[in-house]
Amino acid sequence: MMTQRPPERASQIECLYTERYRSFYRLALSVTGDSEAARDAVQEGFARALGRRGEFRADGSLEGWVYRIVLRCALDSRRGVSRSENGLPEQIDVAWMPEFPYPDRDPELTDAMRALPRRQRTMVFMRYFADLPLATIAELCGTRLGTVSATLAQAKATLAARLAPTIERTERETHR
Amino acid sequence: MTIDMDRVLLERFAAQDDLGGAPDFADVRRRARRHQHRRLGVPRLGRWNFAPRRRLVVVLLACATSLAAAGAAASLALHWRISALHWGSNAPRHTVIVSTPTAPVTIPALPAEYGDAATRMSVFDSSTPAATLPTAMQAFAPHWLDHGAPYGQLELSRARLLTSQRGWQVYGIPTTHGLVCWAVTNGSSTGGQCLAHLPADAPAHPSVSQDSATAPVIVAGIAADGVKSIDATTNHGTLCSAVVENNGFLCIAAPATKAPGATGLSAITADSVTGFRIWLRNGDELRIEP
Repeated sequence: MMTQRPPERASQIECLYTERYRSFYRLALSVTGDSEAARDAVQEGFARALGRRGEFRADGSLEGWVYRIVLRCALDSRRGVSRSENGLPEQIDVAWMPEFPYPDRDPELTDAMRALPRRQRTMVFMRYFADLPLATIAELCGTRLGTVSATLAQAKATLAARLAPTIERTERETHR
Repeated sequence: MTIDMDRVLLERFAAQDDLGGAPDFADVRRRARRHQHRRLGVPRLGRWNFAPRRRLVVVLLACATSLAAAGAAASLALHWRISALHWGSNAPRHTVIVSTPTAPVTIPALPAEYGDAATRMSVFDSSTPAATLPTAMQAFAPHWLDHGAPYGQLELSRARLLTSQRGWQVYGIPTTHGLVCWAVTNGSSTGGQCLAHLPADAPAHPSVSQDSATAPVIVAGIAADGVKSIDATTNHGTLCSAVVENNGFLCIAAPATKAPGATGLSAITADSVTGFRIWLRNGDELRIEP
């Protein structure tokens, strides 16, 4: 067989879009920092995935494959690289130093995130901002599930130490 | 105090969200179609499920779409539009008047290398005899080109009868720019398109047409060397199979057909066709879905 485009794969991609749109959007937003560019990256990424779905190889999940494409589109957008429809990303550098789109809303957390090592920071964004499942993070980062869990645990410990005074003060005030 | 960092992070990250970006999958589909057109340089799937007069409009618009899709890198701009269709009593059945526009439409032209579809069809080698075009084709053929589109000129001396069946014929004519213009006709109804490329991942260009709901469904098109046959498929199975002859193919499905798995006769229309299977001579299979 040269190329197959099972009709059900188009439906799967549409379902993924419908069910996980916010997650894709947030992931792209963490890369571009701009809502319009993020939306465009998601639309473009899904369009590319839909058109090239016959090239999806089932050695990973369809979800991970589409996330990778959207991520590539967002990275291209941020770098000002003109997009090409040719070629789908087999592997991408996922440690892209994500940033909060609205750092002024939480300067303390922004500073704490910026202090994290790049890989930890990327995974925290994927997990808590884009709401990616751990397995998908592992797939995108090309690592094992256990490594993702361990990395996130380290990141949370670092963030907890840094944010603890504020969090404790806030919680005390809430319970008073 | 034990801090639930999962909860804290979820809450504080949520504050970074915005309301931008409402989902719109129709836009995704449109973009995917544009990408496909750009890659293939062809209309995705031609359907002529229109009355003959409207069909010509569709054909010409499809040609314009094809040009626009293929011409992203071109510098040449083309100004034309279809102004009216004329059907005088003494006029040939298919006559289209294309005039200089009052409000020009800019359509990107083909890239410098133009098309290569003709080079992928050995039927245009000198060893195959040229065809004498019937009256319907003679009347129809100029309409592909007479509006000044940068298809090049029709090489009428290299016109070929590709295949025929039950009163229908498929003709192909290369152009000086390497495109192939093809049409299917039964003498009274004619429709066709010009095609720039027949790439390896889309080596055939099938179209479906039907004059009316009770008329047969005509599946016809052109194919590159190496394509053995084309199946038109519906949700119920294969509607018809066409063996490629001289780089052309044609199959005619009756309007009422017992679909595979169905208990009775079903009305078959052009819209029943959901895709195509392209069988290559090396045994590989390629699918085209609308």
